[in-house]
Amino acid sequence: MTGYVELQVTSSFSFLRGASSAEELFTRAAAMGIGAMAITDRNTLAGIVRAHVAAKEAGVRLIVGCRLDLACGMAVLVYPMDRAAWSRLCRLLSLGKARAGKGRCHLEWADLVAYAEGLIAVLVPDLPDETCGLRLRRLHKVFGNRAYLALTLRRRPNDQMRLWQLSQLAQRHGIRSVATNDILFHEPARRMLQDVVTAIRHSTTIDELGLQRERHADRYLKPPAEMARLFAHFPEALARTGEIADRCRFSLDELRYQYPEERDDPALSPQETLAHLVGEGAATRYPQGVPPKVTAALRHELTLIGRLNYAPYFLTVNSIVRFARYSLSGARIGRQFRRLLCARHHRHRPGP
Amino acid sequence: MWPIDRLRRQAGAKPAAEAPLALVGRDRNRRVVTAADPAAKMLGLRAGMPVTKAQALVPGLVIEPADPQADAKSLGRLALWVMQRFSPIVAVDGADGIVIDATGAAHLHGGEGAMLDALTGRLALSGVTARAAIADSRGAAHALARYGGAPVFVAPPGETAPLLAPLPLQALRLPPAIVMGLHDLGFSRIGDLTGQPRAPLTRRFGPELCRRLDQAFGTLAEPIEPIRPQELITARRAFAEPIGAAETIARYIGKLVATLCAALEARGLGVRRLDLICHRVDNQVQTVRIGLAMPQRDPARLTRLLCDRIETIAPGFGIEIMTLTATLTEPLRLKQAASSLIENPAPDLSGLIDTLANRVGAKAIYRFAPQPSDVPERSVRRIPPLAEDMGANWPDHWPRPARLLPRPEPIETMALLPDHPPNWFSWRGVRRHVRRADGPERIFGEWWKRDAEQVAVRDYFRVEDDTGARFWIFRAGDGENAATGSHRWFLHGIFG
Repeated sequence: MTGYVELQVTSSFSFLRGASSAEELFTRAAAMGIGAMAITDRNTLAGIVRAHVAAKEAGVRLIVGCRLDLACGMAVLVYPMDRAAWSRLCRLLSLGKARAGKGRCHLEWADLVAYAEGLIAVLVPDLPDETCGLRLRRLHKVFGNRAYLALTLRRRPNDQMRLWQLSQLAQRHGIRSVATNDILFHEPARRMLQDVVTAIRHSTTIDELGLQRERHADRYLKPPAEMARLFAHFPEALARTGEIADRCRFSLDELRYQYPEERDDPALSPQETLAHLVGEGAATRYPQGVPPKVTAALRHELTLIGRLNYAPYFLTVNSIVRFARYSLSGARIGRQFRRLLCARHHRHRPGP
Repeated sequence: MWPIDRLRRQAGAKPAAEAPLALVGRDRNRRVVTAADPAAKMLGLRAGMPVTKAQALVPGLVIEPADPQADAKSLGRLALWVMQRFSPIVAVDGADGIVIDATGAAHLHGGEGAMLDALTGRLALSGVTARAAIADSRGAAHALARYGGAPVFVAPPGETAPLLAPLPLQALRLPPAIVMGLHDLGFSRIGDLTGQPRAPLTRRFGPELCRRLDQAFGTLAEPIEPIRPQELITARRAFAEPIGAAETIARYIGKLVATLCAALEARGLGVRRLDLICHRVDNQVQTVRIGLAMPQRDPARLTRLLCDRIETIAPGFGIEIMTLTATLTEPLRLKQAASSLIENPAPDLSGLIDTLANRVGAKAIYRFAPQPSDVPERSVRRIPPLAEDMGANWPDHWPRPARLLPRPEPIETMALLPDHPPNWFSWRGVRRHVRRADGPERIFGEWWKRDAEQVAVRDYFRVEDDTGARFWIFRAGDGENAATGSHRWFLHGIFG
């Protein structure tokens, strides 16, 4: 079992909500002896790359996550367990953002259901009431044993009572609860900056902000021992943070750049397609038969391209030139197009 | 200061506030400074100084032509505003003053001191620097306002003479020639004159000197000729025989109110300030002013409010004229009353509020409203009794004590750090054992208000003692960091 793992952390990539950068958060986490930490920005994965780098530097394992604020008011933390789930999560966010326009995200519960496979979901509850029970039931139906309920201390009246009622409610719906800390900043002194960004978000002044401020206190990173003391009544909820961390083994290291494919015939590999196209092109150029010198040069080039695995790139150039010839008549525009293309790819090689 | 303030108010930002400014008028053939702002006075400018000298003294001096007509006109408008807001009997006093008879009107503002504070405060907000004094006589108030020490001053009744004694002779409103002559004789303060035989002074300076002295000390009556704008709705009644009995006054008040309300109804107006002015046979004036929370023209209610204050009218040898004026009016439309068959009309509290306000002052009647703040002391504010809700609200699922102490009281406790409730606490000498507790509720200082609150934290607990009484106690500080508070315990509220 791993020790306590922070599962609900908002970095500054949740624009005008988080008050600390990923670097600050992970450095602090490493200093406190936290072995793994999740980054769950609101409706975005934009901060994950930064967090990945910062986590590597600090020596803390990053758990990739995201907080989804659904249109119905439900808030769910989701963590992809593998690469396929990661792509599903990315696609889900693209869908929500395309729907809502710049800077916003509109997702319905039905969308989450459609992309739910491979995701671990943690419900962020407000009060232990009927709405919460309803959401727990829905969550259990869709996510099964991948559904959890977040228990967070708010430092507000009836805190312990609320946690106890929430854990009872979760148990009744067959959902396990997990302790989170709902981090907004890495150290207590950042509270003022947090108030300021909240004021900016509501486009008002600090004096007028009033009850729009973050109502729940103590949103900074705490060492595992302190968390164990605070959640003394819920040791199993603390232990489950490690369980979730163990289940989410996805890391950004698994991702490589994927070049888009331009094959007309899926049966052939890119290299074979290229060789085929080059043969056709040479035959058109030298109708009386290809000279042996040219054949040797082509073979040499093709071997080189095959070794460097550049064939997909030449196929892209080919399809763009083909498109240019087809849609824009006139050699001048075609040349302009090719030059732009070469400049863009930083490589100057003649096309086929 | 009035000409300068008026110019700055009406010209807007044209003469920059920090540049020294002087107004220039003509004294026969010379161009002289008639008024200078504080910045210019600091640099040595005085009224009456030739312009050339002033310009030599202050190189960057801004000069504007004086306009006494505009000053007087603006002052008249200001006097009218004071009459509508503060007192029925108001007159312009000289070129830069307003004289107010506060009798019968100060109660609406909660006393004379409060009324002066409100008046100077309102004037200061609109850019007019004012000095004000209340005294037994018009002459004494004039002298104390202009030459007294404090900008706002209320002289205790019957103590005019010792207060006036140290003031210079100019305070008596005497022509400059008389003041110069008295200076030549060695008199420089009002106190120097009081013990002197009157006859030689009168022979030398004429009757003016003794008249002004008597007016200042209140031995000679000096009526105020109040401004009476034509457009105000007024009901007036002159009596062939002077009246004096309270019942008679009440009867005529009823008749005047009925006349006035008919006039108000014809114009669709309701009254917010109502002045009753009684002219006595000895040329004295007695006034009663009532204020209303909402525009009204119900004769019964207005009559009752006026009759409540009959006891403040001293009829003396009898009242010969009574005038009732609607000083401040607001539109009041006729409304369809709600039918009791369908809905219950909202109870109208304005009658009660008016009665109370005219007895104890409008400031003493208020309503509490939520204020969006986490700090308990700041989460409440006072609003006028009939004001609309401010829209703010407290989060209703967080229990708050029914009674919040005006200031937290220190208690002795024994508690574990960092965030445990105490085992027992002792408040006002009674030691209580804590049976149940909930907390901490962590409340942070409002760091944008004061530096001291930047890191301040309070941890609030709800605790219940053996008898079942519940208390709201807090520890200053979060239990870990000494910078967040003293870690002493306080009791702040009691749950009902």
